[in-house]
Amino acid sequence: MMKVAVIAPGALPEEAKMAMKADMLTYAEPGTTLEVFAVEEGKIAVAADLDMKAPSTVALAQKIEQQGFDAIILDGT
Amino acid sequence: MVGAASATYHLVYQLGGKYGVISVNEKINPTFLRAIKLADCEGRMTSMRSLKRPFSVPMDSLPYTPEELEEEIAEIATKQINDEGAQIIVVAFTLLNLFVKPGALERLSSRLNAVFVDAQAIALKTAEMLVRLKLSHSEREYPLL
Repeated sequence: MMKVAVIAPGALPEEAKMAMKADMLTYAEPGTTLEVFAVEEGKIAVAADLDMKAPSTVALAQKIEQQGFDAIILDGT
Repeated sequence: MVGAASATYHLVYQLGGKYGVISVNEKINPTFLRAIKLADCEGRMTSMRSLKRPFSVPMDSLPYTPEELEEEIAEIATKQINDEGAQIIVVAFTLLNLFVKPGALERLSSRLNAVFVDAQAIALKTAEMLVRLKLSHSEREYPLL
């Protein structure tokens, strides 16, 4: 068993999170479980919008870590 | 913690000599470029080209149909492959699979005879590999708080 969290950099509707999880589970190892989180506040339209999200992302990652996840993926390329 | 960008670009370096990046929002390119520079993977990038119609978050409306999106990616990648010598194409959009028809990257790879990588899949497989290998970040580089 492996618990993996994914942090999306921006707010996503619940159906998008579900679709993302379903897509990733098609190539995940058997036994890997996924949960998709998002840095909800703010928009992403220009580069600086992402910079503004750094503190919230770190805080969210710390909360996720405390929930016993084995790995966190910081999404976005 | 696995950064999808870092995992993707470091894998790309193992797959070929030159790569092109297609971004989905030109105004976010400075952030994408910074991530590539931080990963020390700038040297083999041929270009970063952007879609004509940007994606932004939250998404009020979708800028492309799945067919249009795949076709524009093909159009941009063709320039990167033929004019710049790119061998690998990174579509810098981890949510890409939600906006194209299944198998899009495989179709593009076959059609353009280049490697198209799925950043989302690379991120997950990297995370799984690191957990299996019991590897994590160096505490010398990233001291625990």
